[in-house]
Order: sequence, then structure tokens, then C-alpha cells
Amino acid sequence: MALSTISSDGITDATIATGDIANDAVTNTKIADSLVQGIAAVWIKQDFNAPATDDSLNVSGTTDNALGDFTVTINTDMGNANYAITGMASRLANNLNYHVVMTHETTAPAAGLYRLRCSDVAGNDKDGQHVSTAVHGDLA
Amino acid sequence: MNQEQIKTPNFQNTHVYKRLVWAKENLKKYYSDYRIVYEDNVDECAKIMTPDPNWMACALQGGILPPLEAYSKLKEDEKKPNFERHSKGYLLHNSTPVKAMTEEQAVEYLIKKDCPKSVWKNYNKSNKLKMIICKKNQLPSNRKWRNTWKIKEELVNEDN
Repeated sequence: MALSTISSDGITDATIATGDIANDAVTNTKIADSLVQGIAAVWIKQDFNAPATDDSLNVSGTTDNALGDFTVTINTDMGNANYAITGMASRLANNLNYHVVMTHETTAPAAGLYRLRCSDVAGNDKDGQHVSTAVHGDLA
Repeated sequence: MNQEQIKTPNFQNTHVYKRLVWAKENLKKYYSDYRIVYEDNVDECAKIMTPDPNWMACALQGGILPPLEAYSKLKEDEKKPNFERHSKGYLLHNSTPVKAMTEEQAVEYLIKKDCPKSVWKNYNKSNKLKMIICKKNQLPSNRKWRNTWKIKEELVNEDN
């Protein structure tokens, strides 16, 4: 079908034969078979204090290494360690020390895991009550 | 937990991430009481691994998780000095998924997947156990002295 035949009303149903879009075209099947860039490859909401995982996606387990120190192990590995982690932590109830979460200084992220450190603003390790992290990047 | 009424689609050759999305939409989270306690550094406190509830649901359901060998191959590649990016992700997605496991089998699988090999391979090869599996209620309930937790010396290593 030549492009010049498209009217200002758009393409009417059944204008394009299946054969015309079989190759090199965007189809629902192809869209369904590719993972969308931009969606979180991993996410998890943890309570370090319980400790417990409230909910998650693409996580196989968590390891409580020490106070305010947890490792998240990824179920479907990332393509490499060059992914972006975003995170947020809350303070404990009735505690005025605000908590921050960061990647742990002793362990670099790997394709299959990342280690978190949660501390108060003075740098003391703390078990945050609502610790959320998400990973964006390429999956293996 | 009884999820056998939900039939797992044939997921071989399906990206594992997509399987996990399916599982999240169709399976109920399973909170295991098992905890894996291990020590990989004598100067550090004991570490406690907990199975993820969504992951455990997948393990019990079957037909979703890749075989352990696929993870091992990827770990080997990642250790190579010239590693830039995984090129064998297809091993995760194209291998025959593992069948439904019992909770105990799933814990063993998780240990081999996520615990350091130096721990689980030799957990009972020294005087003191490097790793034990326990129930959640066997752990201290107060985390005040969390950084002093160690596996009890008195625990008997039955293989020695």
C-alpha cells in the first residue's frame, strides 16, 4: 500500500493485508516479546526492623547482614552491574532521626545482588522501617 | 498453601522476568518460616537469609524458576576479568524450568543460588558450623545487639 493513499481520516480497518506487515513491522506479538525499557527490573519494599519483605518483584531473597545492612538478591540477573538503584528509607515511629539508604561501601553491586546500608543522618546504622529500592537497567 | 488449581503456562523460552510478572498476578505470596543463618567472616556477625515470599510462591508452584546450573554459568562468566555483560541470559530463559519444590527443597535451592559457595560447600567441614537452617522464632526477637549475633559454638557438628 502506498503511503499516498492514506486519507486524512487515517487507515480504515482491513486496509493493510497481513502480508504487508509480516516483516520488519511493529506487531502486537513483537511488542509482547520484548521487555519494555524503563520499567523497574527489580523493586522491593522492606522493613529492616521486623525484618520482613512487604512486597517485591524479581527478588529471590534478602540477607540481614547486620544492623541497617541488608543484601537483596535478584532472581533474574541484570546484564551487568551497571544499573541504577534508587531508594528511600523512613524513620522509625516516634524516632526523630531520619534515615537514608545507600549502597554499602564494602560491597559493589553485582549482576545478581546489591547491598544496602541504612543509617540516620549522623551516619549511625539503623534499621529503617520502610526501606524501598528499585533497579532500572538491562536484564540478562 | 494450595495453589495446584492454578496451572503454570509452558514457560520454557519465556523471559524469566515475564514469568515473575505472571506469578505476581496469579500466585499468593508465601512467607516461609525458614531462615538460613551463616557466617562467612569470623570477624563479622552472623548473616540471616530469608526467602522472598513471591519467589517462594514460584518455587512451590513449579515451572517458573530456571535451573540452578543456569545461575552458576552466569556467575562463572561474571568472575572473568574481561566480563562486560552477560551474553548467556538465554540459559535462564530457555532452559527447562524446575518442577514444583517442597519448601525444604526450595530453601536448599536458594542456599545454592544466593549463599556464598565457600559457605554452603564446606558448612560442616570445620569444628564450628558455618551455616544452619532454623525457624524464624529461633532467632533473637530483639535486634538491639544484632551486630553480636553468632552461631552458637555448642551446636554439634554431627559430621565431625
